[in-house]
Parts: sequence; structure tokens; C-alpha cells
Amino acid sequence: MHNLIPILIAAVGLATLLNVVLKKINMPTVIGYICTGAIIGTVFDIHVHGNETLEHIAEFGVVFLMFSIGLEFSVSHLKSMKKEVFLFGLLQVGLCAAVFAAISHLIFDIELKAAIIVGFGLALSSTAIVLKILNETGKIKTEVGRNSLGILIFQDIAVIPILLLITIFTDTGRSLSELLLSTSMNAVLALGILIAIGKLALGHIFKAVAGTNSKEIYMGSILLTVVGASYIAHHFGFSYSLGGFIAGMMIADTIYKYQVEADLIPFRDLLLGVFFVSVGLQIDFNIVAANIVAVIALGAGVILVKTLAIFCLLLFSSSKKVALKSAITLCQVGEFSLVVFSLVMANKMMDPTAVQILMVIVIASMVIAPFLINNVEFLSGVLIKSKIEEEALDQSSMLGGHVILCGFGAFGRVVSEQLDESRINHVVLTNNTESFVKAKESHKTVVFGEPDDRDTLERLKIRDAMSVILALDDFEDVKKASASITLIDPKIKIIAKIPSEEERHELEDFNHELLLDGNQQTATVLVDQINRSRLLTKETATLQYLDDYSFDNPGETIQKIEREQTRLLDVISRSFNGLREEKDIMHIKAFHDSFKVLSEIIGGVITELMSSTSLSPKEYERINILLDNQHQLISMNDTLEKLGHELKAMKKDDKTKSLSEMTVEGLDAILLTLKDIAGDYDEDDMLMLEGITSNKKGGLFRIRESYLGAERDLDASGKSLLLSSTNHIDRLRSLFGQIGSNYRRLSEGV
Amino acid sequence: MLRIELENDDCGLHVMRLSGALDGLTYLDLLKAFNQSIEKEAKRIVLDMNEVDYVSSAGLRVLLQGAKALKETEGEIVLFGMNSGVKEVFSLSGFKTLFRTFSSEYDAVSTS
Repeated sequence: MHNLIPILIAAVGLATLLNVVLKKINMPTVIGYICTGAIIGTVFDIHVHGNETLEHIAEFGVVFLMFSIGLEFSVSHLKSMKKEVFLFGLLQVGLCAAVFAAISHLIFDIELKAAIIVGFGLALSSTAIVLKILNETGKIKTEVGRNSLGILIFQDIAVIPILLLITIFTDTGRSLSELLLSTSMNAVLALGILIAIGKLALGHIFKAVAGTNSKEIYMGSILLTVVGASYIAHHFGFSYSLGGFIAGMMIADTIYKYQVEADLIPFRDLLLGVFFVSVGLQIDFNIVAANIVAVIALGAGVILVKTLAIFCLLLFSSSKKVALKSAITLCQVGEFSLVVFSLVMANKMMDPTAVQILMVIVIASMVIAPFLINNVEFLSGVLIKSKIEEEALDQSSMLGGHVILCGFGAFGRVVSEQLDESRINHVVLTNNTESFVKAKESHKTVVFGEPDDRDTLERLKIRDAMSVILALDDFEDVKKASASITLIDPKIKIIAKIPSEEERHELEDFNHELLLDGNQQTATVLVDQINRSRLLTKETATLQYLDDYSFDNPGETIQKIEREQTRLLDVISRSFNGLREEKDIMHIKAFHDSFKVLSEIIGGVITELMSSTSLSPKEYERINILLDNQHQLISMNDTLEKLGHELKAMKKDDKTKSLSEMTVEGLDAILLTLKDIAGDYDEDDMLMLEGITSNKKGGLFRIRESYLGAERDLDASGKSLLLSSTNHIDRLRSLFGQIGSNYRRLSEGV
Repeated sequence: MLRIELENDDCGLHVMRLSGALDGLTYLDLLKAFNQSIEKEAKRIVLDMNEVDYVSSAGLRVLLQGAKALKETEGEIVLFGMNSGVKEVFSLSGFKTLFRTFSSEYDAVSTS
């Protein structure tokens, strides 16, 4: 037996070194671990086969991975993914196994029974690699992620009948019916025990453990659950990992899901690392060297055939690009295949060298897999050109933009209600059982966990969140959560409620966007701030010209400001459409708010340009016109916002309904003319705009006179509304004319 | 739905009798009619608005486009027979200052 300490030091040192380098070039740590295993195995002459302790430790990496997958898989979730799991999974395993079995038997002349097992073995993909990368990159929620996850879950379940098949093919002592009967009975017993414990005891155990407020006891209970469930499954002849998966599913339906997951991640990742090192240990460089051509050719063949088969079967339900991306994601052979091939070798179903070659192919495909998955966008883009809309849809499903609301006490509930009113997607995080129940009863998206737990916050995609609100009653908790969030990323914006002004200085080290005290009023200001941030993010994301500018070339930047500014007219035009389409006032308000944020961005660039660069007199004159336009446009938006409210009110009265509708059409016609001038200046258009906006108030006066006259019979509030709205119409017409004049000056090359 | 009936003489006078709504769904029909008249060297297009019950911003814009095209040949568009709602939209938008409007066909055709 080797001295363990130097091997451990060498393995940990090498893995750390390799992973630091790999992370720098944006590659997954899986490759680092496998390479570490291969190098350590060769240098110290260690092999994983026959080393039962190492095999078990390594297997528990997969158990913990499957447990954490199970946590994502409540029974209801599994039902919602039945198509991906049971249809795609069955077809994938069936089709790939048939193709590989046929090739093995017909081309490589492998005996039929062994060929069938080889077929099933090669049909399996690597749950450990694929899910780790999809989780890390957040792609698990995309269509490709769903397809892959569904198929992998089925593959993990399929391992049981595959192992059974090996027993049937090699066990000559018992009949097929006997084997099937004993397996079925074991399955019923194992599932029955696990489900009974999960449903009846697990919730109570975790409640009691959470009540002790001890992290240590909590961790112990998680380990007991995982190891206990996998032992029960193994005892009845199933894999350890299936037990882990079922245990995870049992906890998925309890409120402790996220906290368990957060506490488990360090264990899972560490043990998975050991598992991947053990995979690397199985690489026998002598066999690789002797059969290098066969390994490369067969490895490439397996990957190609598997990609093609998965692509073809997914084409029936997904777009070409999604089918190809899913196929590339699943084209490698997985860790369970190594278990299958080990049994083939142990049962002498095939020549040992051939099995060794197969195992090297499996490992090689696992090494290549991260490269393929990380470059799946590029590879699928080269092979299939998809429509832009389809791409955008795929990307958008990965975006965050939510709010994390920590705490659901009296204040948290008010905030949550206001967020709902503003239709802001948010998730509640609370460590209080009572608050959790209240949030559930109010149909909130709620997670049970500590607001200062970094893993929980990461699980809630804090980096993609628009903001984090700390609505916690205890100021110590606010400080702890602020520190954790700052450790994750100092740029994450925090909005917190503090008991009084005195505590403000204690939070100075953190990136607080807003610190407030009070309850109802605080909540209103806070949600307004969130709304503003949301719009700012949205408008910044949709900037068409000022998304990239430089003060080194002021002429070009001025041109970009000019173009971006014309987009403000588009926003105003959309608010006109909102009035016409009878959208509610909140919907129209959103356009006005959007305008304010976009104009703030443009105004900011104008100010920055004027203060940071030396401009020529002509450029100063041009920017001065844009600045004036900016003021006129802001004034236009304000006036229109007020007029919008008045027109809505006038529409409710039959006597002024038609006037309200005609006003929208009339002003929109002028705005469209102004937009033409702003987009592509034409003197004839300008002369017309001048004509219709000139200060001849005759028409408007006559309308006002006729509506204020006795025959219309308007009441006092109706008359007041009419006076106010016609004043606003007059103001708008004048603003349209002034902005048009500014565009004339710009076209004259000022 | 907008129906357009065209009557024209050899002196470049084109009378278009419109009926229905002049809005985002129908403005292209009027634009097409304008283009055909301009091709036939129309100098004066008279729009009979008696049967027009609604004019939207898109309708107003097509009038502007027609006026702009006729301006090149020193022609013009005039209108008559507008109902009170259409008159309101002309007044509110300031289009009344760009287009001459008449109460009768006789005035619209004969006034130079």
C-alpha cells in the first residue's frame, strides 16, 4: 500500500494548480480532476479497480450529485417533465443502444449478448459532467437543459434494468422470471421504505433539527438522509445514486429544500472531485498508446453516431438548433457506462483488452465533453443558421432581472404586495417557518433559507437579480446579509430597511443603493426605486446608438446622441398608441417612465461630453441644440402625461368622448410628421409642420367655445377638464414646432 | 372600409367621393388613388368627405403626403362636406391651416 499522505498532497496540489489554470481559460474543473487522476495513477501506479474504499468514496460524489438533482425534482416537477424523461429518455436509450449493439455485433463481431450490453453502456451519457456544466452556466432552465436533464434522469433509472440484464445474461442458476420477480419485489420494498420515511418522518426530523438552530446538527441530519437512503437502495440491489435521487425528491417537497441544498454543495463538489479523479485513475496509458488509432477512430465514431441519433429523435419536438445543441450536450459516454463495462469484464463477457479500450473511449469522451458543451453555441451556429427570433427566445429564458426579498415580516409583506402591483418578479427568502407558511398561503414564490447564506443566495441567482431588498426586522441580520452579498459581488445593489438614521454608518462599507426607515411609505419609495432601476436596465439594454461611444471622437458621439434622441419620439408615439388602444393608465405611465429614464441616459452623455472633451465651436452649437431639444422633449413628455389623464377622464363622458379620440389622432398626426423630420430631414415636411403648429389658435378656440357653450351642457368639472386639456394641446403643438425648428438647424449643418 | 369613386375632367380636376373610415386600415387605398390621379396629371383633387365618418392620424398623414406630391406641380387638395368630428380633428391638429375646406361641392370645385 502506498503512503497515502504524499499521494493526497500531490493530488490536491496538482488538482488545484490545474483548476486554477483551467478557470483562467474558462474551462470546467472536471477536466482538471480527470487529468489529476490520470497523472497520479501513472506516477504512483495506483488503479481504482480493486480498491473498494476509493470506489465507494468516489461513488458518493455521484450520490450527492443525484441527491441535489433530486432536490430539484419534486414529484410534481417529475410529472411536468414526463415527456422529456419518459418519451425522449426511452427513445434515446432505445435508439442509441440498438444502433451501437448492431454495430458491435455486425461490424466488430462481438457476441450478441455482450453487444447488447455494450450498446446500452454506450447509450448512457455523463450525468456528472453535463448537469454540473448546465447548472454552473444556468442553462439548465433552457429547452436544451430540459431535454438533457429529462434524458439523463431516464438514463439513471435505466441503469437498473441494464445491470439486471447483465445478471440475466450471466446468471445461469436462476430463471428469468425468478430474477424479474425478485427485482420487482426489491424495487417495491426499497421505494416503499424510502417514500414512507420521506413522507412521514423527514419533515418532522428537519423541523426538529431546524429548531435547534445548530448548523452542525443540520449538516449531520442531511448526511444521514443521503447516506441512509443510498444504503437502503443499495441493500435492495440498486445503485447508491438512485437512493440519493429519491431522498432528494422527498426533501424537494419540504420547505427545507434550499437550505439543505446550500449546506450540501461543499460536500457534493468535493466528493464529485474525488469521483472525477477516480475516473482519471482508470486511464491506462499503456493501452492508450498501444491502441491509439482505434481509440481515436472509435471514440470519434461513438460521439458522431450518438449525436446523430439524439439529433434525429429530438427533431420531432424541438427546432433543429435546439435538437443539435441537446445532441452535442449528451454525445459523450458516462460514468455509469464504466460501471457497466467493469461488470462485463468481471463476468468475462468480452475480451479484457477490448473492454479496456471501451473504457478508455468512455473516459476520452468525458474529457472532450466539457469542450463540446462549452462551445455548443458556436458548433450549432456553424452547422445550423437559425432565425434571430429563435435565438433571442433561447437567450431570454436565461436572463434574471428578478428581485430577492429577504424577510417576510410586516414590512416584507407590504413590499411584496407593492412589487406584485408593479408586476415585478420577486422571490421571498425567509428563515422563519411562520413567515414561510404565510408567504405560501399568499401564493408567493418563497424559499426557506438564511438570508446571509451565500450558497442560498447564489441558488437564487443573485448575480442576475435586479436588486436585493433586506426587509429584516433584526439589524444584526441586515448587517450579516449585507456582508454576505458584498462577498458574493460588491456590485450587487442592496436596498435595506434600517431601524433609524443612527445605524446608517454601520452599513457604509456595503453597496447600499438606498437605506430607509419607516414602513408603508418606505415600501412605496422602495418599489418606485426598483421600478426605476428596472426601466434603467431595460432602456440601457435597448440603447441603439449610445451603447458604445467614445469621447475621442466627439463628432461621432454627437451624431449618436442625435439618433438616440429621435428614439424618444418613438417612446412618445407608443404612449399615443396606448391612449388609442385604451390601455390602462399604469400601462401608459410605463411609457412615460421609460421616456424619463432614456432621456436621463441621453442627458447624462450630453453633460459628460461637454465636461470631459474640448469641442469645436460648431460642435458646441450642435450639442446646444440637442440640449434644447432634450428640454423640449422632456416638457413634451410631461405635458402629454397630464393630457393623457385628462383625455382618459373626457372619454368617460359621452359629451367629450369624441373630442378625446380626435385629440389623440390629431396630435399623433403631427408627431408622425415630426418623426419623419427627425429621421430624415425634408424641408417640405418642415414647412407643413410649421403650418400646422403655427400659433394660429383659431381652430382650437372655436372648439373650446363650442364645448363651453350652453348647447353642450358640460358640468363644472367637464368645463375645467376641457380648458386644461386644450391648453395642453396648444402647448404640445407649440413644442412639436419648436423641436422641428431645431431639426432644421441641425440639418443646416450648424 | 373606404370606398373611393373618382370623377375627373380633362382640365386636371379630380373629384374623389369617399365613404367609410379613413384610418390605418384604409389610408393606403387613398394613397393609391392619389398616385393614380397625379400620374394622370391632376392639378386639383377635391375630396368629398360627406360620407366619411372618421379620420385617424394615418388618414391625416396620407393627406399630407398627397399635398406634398401635388405641391411639386403646384396643385392642391381641397375638401368639402366634413362632419363635425372630422372638422374637430382638422382643427385640433392644425391641418385646417394647410387645407382649404368648403361646405359645398360647388364652392370646392369653383373657388380657385
